[in-house]
Amino acid sequence: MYRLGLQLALRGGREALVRLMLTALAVAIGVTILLGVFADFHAFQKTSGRPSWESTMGTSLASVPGPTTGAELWRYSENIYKGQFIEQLDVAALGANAPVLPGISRLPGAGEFYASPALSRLLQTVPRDELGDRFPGRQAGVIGEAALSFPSELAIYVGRSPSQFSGLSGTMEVTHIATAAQLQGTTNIYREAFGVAALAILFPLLILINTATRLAANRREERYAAMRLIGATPRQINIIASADALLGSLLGALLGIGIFLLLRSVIASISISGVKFFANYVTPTIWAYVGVAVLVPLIAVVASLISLRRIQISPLGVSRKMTPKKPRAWGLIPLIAGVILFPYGATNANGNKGGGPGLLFIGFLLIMIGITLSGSWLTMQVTEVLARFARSAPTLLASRRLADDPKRAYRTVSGLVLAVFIGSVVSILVPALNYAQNPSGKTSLNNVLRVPYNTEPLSTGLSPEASAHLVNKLESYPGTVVIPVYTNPAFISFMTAQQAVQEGMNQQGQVKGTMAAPNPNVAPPEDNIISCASLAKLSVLGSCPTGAKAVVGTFDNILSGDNPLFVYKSLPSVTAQNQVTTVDLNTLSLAAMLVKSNNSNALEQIRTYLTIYDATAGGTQGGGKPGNSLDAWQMGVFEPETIGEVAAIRNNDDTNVGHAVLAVVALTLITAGCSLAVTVGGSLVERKRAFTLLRVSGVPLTALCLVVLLEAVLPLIVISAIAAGIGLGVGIPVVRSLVSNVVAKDTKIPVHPSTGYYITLAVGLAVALCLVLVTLPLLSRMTRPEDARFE
Amino acid sequence: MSASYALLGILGKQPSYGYDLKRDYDLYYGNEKTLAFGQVYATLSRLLRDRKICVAPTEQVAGPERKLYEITELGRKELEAWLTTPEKIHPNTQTILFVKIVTSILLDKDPDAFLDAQRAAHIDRMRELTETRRSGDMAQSLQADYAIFHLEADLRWMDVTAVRLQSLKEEIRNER
Amino acid sequence: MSDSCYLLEIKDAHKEFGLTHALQGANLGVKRGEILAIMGPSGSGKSTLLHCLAGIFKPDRGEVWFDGKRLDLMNEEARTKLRRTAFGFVFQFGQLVPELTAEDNIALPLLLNKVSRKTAYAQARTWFKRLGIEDLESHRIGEMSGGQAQRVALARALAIQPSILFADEPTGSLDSLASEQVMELLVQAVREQGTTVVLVTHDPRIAAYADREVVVRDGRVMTAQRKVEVVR
Repeated sequence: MYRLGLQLALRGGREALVRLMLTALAVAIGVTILLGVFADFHAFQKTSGRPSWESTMGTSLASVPGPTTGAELWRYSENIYKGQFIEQLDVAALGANAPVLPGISRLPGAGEFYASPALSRLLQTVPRDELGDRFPGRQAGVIGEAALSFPSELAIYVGRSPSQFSGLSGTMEVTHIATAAQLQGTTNIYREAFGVAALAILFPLLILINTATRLAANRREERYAAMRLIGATPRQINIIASADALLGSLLGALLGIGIFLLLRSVIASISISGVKFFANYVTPTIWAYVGVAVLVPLIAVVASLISLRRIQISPLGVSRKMTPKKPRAWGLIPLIAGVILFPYGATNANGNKGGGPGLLFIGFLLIMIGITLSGSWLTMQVTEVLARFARSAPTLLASRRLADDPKRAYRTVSGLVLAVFIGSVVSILVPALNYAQNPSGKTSLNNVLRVPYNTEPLSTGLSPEASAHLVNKLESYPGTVVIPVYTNPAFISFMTAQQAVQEGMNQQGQVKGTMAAPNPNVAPPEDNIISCASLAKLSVLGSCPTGAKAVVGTFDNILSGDNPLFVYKSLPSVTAQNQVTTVDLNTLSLAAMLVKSNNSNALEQIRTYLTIYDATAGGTQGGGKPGNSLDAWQMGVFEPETIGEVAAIRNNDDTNVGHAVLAVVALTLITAGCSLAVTVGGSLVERKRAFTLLRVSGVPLTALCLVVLLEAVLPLIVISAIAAGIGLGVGIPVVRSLVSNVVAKDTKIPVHPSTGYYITLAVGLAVALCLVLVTLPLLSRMTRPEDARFE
Repeated sequence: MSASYALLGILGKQPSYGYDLKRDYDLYYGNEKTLAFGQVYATLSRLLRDRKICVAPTEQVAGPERKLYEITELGRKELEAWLTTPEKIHPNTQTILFVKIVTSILLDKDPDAFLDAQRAAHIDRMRELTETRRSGDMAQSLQADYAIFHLEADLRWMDVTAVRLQSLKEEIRNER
Repeated sequence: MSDSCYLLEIKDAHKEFGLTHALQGANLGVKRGEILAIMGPSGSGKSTLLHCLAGIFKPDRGEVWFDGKRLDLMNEEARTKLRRTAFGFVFQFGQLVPELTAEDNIALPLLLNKVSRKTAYAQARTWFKRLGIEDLESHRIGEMSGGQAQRVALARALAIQPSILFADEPTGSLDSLASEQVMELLVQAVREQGTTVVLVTHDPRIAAYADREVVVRDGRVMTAQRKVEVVR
């Protein structure tokens, strides 16, 4: 029986062979995409599951310990070069058997460092005074993949001698390097997102496989009916049908695996979520290959058996198909409910009115269910209107066929509905969120580097002599402007006094001895003093009261705020209300600097200079003398950043999510295109005689091609438009309300999808269209008038 | 009428005695009715009178007088004309057609030609009847229908015969 | 040059398909306004003859003339256009689009010829009364009987007011009564419009509706000799 089934499938003539090829091809494309998703997911898993050495916990120290076996000193910090983060680990072994870091074979000794491959490349190409000078010593080797998350990661292990850690904050003693994977909040989100993405693609893929194996099912079913007539049992028919489905899908699965293997390196070099994965991680693993080769044919066979049961082959032939039942409008109910609930829930999500977030989620879910259920009804409405007003023959033919069986028309494209809907919502949210965090036009502080010096509480900062020298040195770089921010001595004395009082209080908070209780009615003086001349160089900060030489003020947000939104909200920092001071600026210590440079290379040179300058604790590089070792700005735990870089970090995550979602949308559009092409091919086989006779009657081939195209393209575009429309429609009010809570009242929020969204939709639809176009030559061959049988 | 042509046809193949004529006739056509001797001689007389056949000179042999009959030029022409002229339609058409077919095979002529002509005549008749049926009253229509169906039956038979002619040829040859 | 009394003429046509000689020197002339029946057994080449006459493909040798022009020398596009505007076709089955209603099917060729939608449908609707299929305008093919469907097919073929109607076994899948009705209506309609008809059939009762019939055998066209019978 199996042999008979195979023979029928293979020897059924050219038409059967064409059908087999189409099926295999469609399944192959689906399998390739599926393997690609698995491969990326595997790479993501492997990467996020790598031993996270960065999360090693050590014991913090007050002073450098003596030689200890099995221990080493660590100091983790982050560097920036042109907006890219560099992870830096300064390490010094305390004795023998110090744990070795992942990715290298031995610890770097003092004066050596190991750099990641990307950083090594940078070091070789970038001028030393912009980057290389930050890391003392020579490169001993390259950090291996085991320590890195992605190929372009910048990381460096710098070897030190233990004494160099003396007095450095952030030093810890490490005896055991963490091997557990890093559990960031974002990791879980990404994993969930991946899961959702995989599901979103899986749905249309399953439809594709199902459609492909059911290609031209009608003719086959007639054949089965004939076999029943001559005595074949239903079981035998099942076997034959399974053999048919098995052959096509197995061929397709193997072909898909082959295509994927060919394309693997290309896929690995595509970065969907903003970062690339290591090429050798991008593999679906042997399990996925095996799984696909086994499960895809299995699904195909099961699908074909189920559909056989639906048709119920009887010897008297497949029961005559009347016009199929029309879809009902039930699906509209959840859809409308969701469309109302979702924005309502979103607007109340921020407020405290009950159930905001819950309603939002339920609304979202209802919309998705509603679209899926009401899709065929919506298709029917649109196509019926089209049919009524069709002016040309191809439009009439196409719209009638679609309106005749809207369920069939909708089924093939239903897979992309969800993806397009979610994609639309996300693509509106992301730019708005980005904007909210960095309102456009507010880029005035982008190139302003902030260099804090008072990292310790009660520290005064850099000494006046050192700061004067430093400011001069920095202003010598091209295009650079330095605004020194001094420590207000009044603030320091106030805080010192308060500290003493705190220490003098007993457990019950009562003042001991003769100290005066702090007066709660006296406001503490503001932290900083700034010269009006310097202020004038960065006018966005504000302007002094007239005639003042220096004012007292607070610059917390600008100096350390990490949300650019609030940074800009706090401007102007200096107004006419600020208290004027006449203290001599040359006597003040430097609390921080704002360094503005329009030359990005100069910026990096400045950063490098600052790093080395302070790294030599107690050093006098260039003549500046830092204050006592505790006050000096040492190789800080964080590198001076520009405010633009701070903003970019926040944007990055959101943009990556946006890109990933768009990628999913594009993939589902392509998959839907495959399904469409397959459905078109199948419908050609069914309508071969009618079309051939139409051509005999003088209908031009181009008209028929147009019919076929319209039948495929109309549902695609209509459904995409509806899903996108609903997505944008509910997204806009949500965005307005979410963002308006966050930005200032008078800012205009841009509420439109990113350009990437339009591009993705256009490209996805174009590819889907091309796939359908591929079937047109088939139409031409199959309906040649010369082949019309008249007898 | 058909008997005379049948006999003429057999004579057209080769001259023959009266006794042999009857035997051959029964052989080819005798399924339903055989020809009585009296009828044989009556037909032969008529044919002689019409000069379609003549008596061939034979040598006298001992025994009853036997005349050898053979076909004349006139007879051959008449036979030819009869073969190639389509029959008017009447209830006995099939019988006559059968005679024609056998005769033409005997004479090694191609029956297809006259079958085509006969078909054309039938269809002409059907054409007339179709007109009648469309324009006439109910009684005329019913009669016309009846005739049409019978004509169709004839045509069907002719089609089938045309296909079977090959084997018919073999059979007749073997019987000879 | 062609004889001016023939609207459609084929001269000495030969056509081979691989090893099969479908036409071996076929000659046929169709007079303007007549109903011509083409008869013949299966495999005789009558379908191929119809194909050549209708310009569906070109013979390997020979000439095809339509209305004074060489049909076999036209390119595919011109012949397709001719089939759409000057020829009408009725087949045994399978020519109507199942998803379209009856009036859609009839209006289809008109729409293809760039007639406005309103006019096309108005013209289409006139045929329903003429052919006795009123109230079937919005029915689909699956919802009507075979005879009614063939009448819709006939209307579709005649709606463009063709010069020639090619009918290939138009009643082949109908019972006798339905066949009669369809042929009646066909003859009536073409007489009204003056349409020439080329009717391919094996059924003599259908051929009887024609003015004249020819027989195709072995790739050649026979016109039977009709001799006047010698009256006895």
